[in-house]
Formats: sequence, structure tokens, C-alpha cells
Amino acid sequence: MTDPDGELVAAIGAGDQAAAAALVRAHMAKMLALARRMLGDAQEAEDVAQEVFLRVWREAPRWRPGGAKFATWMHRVALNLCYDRLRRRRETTDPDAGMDIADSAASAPEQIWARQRHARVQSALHALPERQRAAITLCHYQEMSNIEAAAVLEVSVHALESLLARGRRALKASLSDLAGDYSGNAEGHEA
Amino acid sequence: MSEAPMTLERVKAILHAYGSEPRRWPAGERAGALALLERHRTALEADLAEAARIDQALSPTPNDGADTALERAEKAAIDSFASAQAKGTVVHGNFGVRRTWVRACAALAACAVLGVVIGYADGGQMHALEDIASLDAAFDFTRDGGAWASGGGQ
Repeated sequence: MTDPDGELVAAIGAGDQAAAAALVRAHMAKMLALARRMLGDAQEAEDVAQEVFLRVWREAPRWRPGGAKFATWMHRVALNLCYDRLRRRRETTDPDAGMDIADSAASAPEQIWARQRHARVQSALHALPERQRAAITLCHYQEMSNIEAAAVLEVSVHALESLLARGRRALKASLSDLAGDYSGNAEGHEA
Repeated sequence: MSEAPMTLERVKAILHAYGSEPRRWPAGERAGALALLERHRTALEADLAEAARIDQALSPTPNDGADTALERAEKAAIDSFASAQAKGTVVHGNFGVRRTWVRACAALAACAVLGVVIGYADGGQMHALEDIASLDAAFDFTRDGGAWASGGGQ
């Protein structure tokens, strides 16, 4: 299995700035999205994403292809940085710290509704245990395969499935009052 | 899991874990699960609808300012590579050279100290295995090398 980032990482290890820029453009959006979903805070997510790339610059010269894909390693680093921040939050502040509040001022009613719905879903996601939230984020939002997501979480595929199923079951319960909003879409999918 | 025969229970488990979109299902089981879903659509209807509802709830909403944040973050990360490179702490070659100089200087200093110690000890006789060991411990030559080799970064 060849690593799609292997050549870029080797070039970065040799000091190639263009390769560094290419890796940033290939992965920054996913790092930001992962951290944002895990932390619920845009500024903290940016800090985490920057820290991931600082570690990439440091580790690239030592990277040896053949093991896990580089993107898997990057996701693992990002997730661990998120876990660290969440742990610090629990130790020092209230558990809701860092939750972005949607600003619905000066928006059309449908935009306000969409943002409120989005905030509800994000709040429900945020209420999940960290590992379940991470599993759903990796498989649903980061579009990772089950094998890749299990590798990032350092669990078996079977354990990943358990995390996903428990997480989705909890979401179903906490978002049950929104169920009617989606019935049309569900029917459409079955066609 | 891909070797096991596909069953209705397994299709339900896939829907409950991965949702209603076949592209998110385990690659090795996708074809079998889809075939069974087609054959037993009525039996799986409720599970499929429930999975689709949760997928829909999770669908991302356009996020104001996300593009600007992405551009800003990309620029900052690219700049961080340039500044880290300028400090000489990123690129393997520079990093290696810096460490080599540090080690060489530490070794020279250790030799000088060792010479003084031996000169004072027992009228110049060498019984220095313990002394060398203690100097090694004092300068801890292996520490940087150990950290350098361990990798990981987490």
C-alpha cells in the first residue's frame, strides 16, 4: 500500500517549502474540521491544527513509509491534542466552555432555523463521550473508512463499530424531537 | 468480518453503525449488504429510515467564515514551516548538524574534565571505570540521542 502523502513528506523532510504548502492545502481543512467537531470552538480548533503541522515539520525527516499512512498519523495527533484540551477543560472550567454559539442576528428565518438545528446537533454531538464523538466524526465527517478510523483511534474495527452504534443511538435519543424534520429526506433516500 | 456470510442482522448492524450511505459501509461487505437490502427491503425498511434520519441530522450546515478561517490557517501553517526552517530546527540536515556540534563540544568538555580527574586521582593511576561512568551520567550523552530516535511526537 503506497502512502499518497509519502513523496510530499519525504520532500518536506528535505526542506522543500512547496511540498510543505501542498501538504497544508491537502490536509488543513480536515484537521480544522476534526478539531472543530471535537472541541466545538473555532479558535481552539485553529490552534490544534497549527500544532499538528508544527509536529509534521518536526517529524517529517524521521518518517519511514510502510507503516500507517501519514494522514492517519496526523489525525491521531490532532485527536490526541483535542483529548488533552478536553481534559484540561474538565479540570479547570465548566464543561460547556468552548461551545460556539451561533449568531443568528440579521439572518433570514430559514437561515436562523438551519443554524438553530445545526447548534442542536452540535450540542448533541458534544454531549457524547469523547471516543464516540471521535468515531462519528472520523467516519461521517472525515469520510474515513472503518479500517482507517479504527487505526486513528487505535482500536479494532469491531470496537469502532460499537462506538459508532452507541454514539448514533445516543444521538437518536437526544434529537428525537427533530425527527419529523427529516422524514421527507429519509423517504427520498429509500427510493 | 468480510468473510462471514451476510445476514439480515449484519445488515442492520451496519446500518446502525455506519448509517444509510453505502459508501460509508465496510468495503468488503458493501456488495453483500446491498444485495440483501434489495432482496429484503421491507424487513429492513425501518432500520434504513432511522439510519437516514440520523445521517440527515448530521449533515453539515454551511459555516459562515469557514473559508476565511481555512485560508488564514493555511497561511499560518505554511509560514510556520518557513520560520521553523529558518531556526534550523526542522530540516533533518540542519537538525543533525546542530546536534552533532553539541555532541562534539560535550565530548571535548568531558575529555578535559576526565583528564583533570585522572590527574588528581591516586597519583595519576587509572582506575577510572567508575569515574567514566559517573561522567557519563553527569553529561548524559545518551539522552539527546534517545529522544532523537524515539520519534512519535505525541
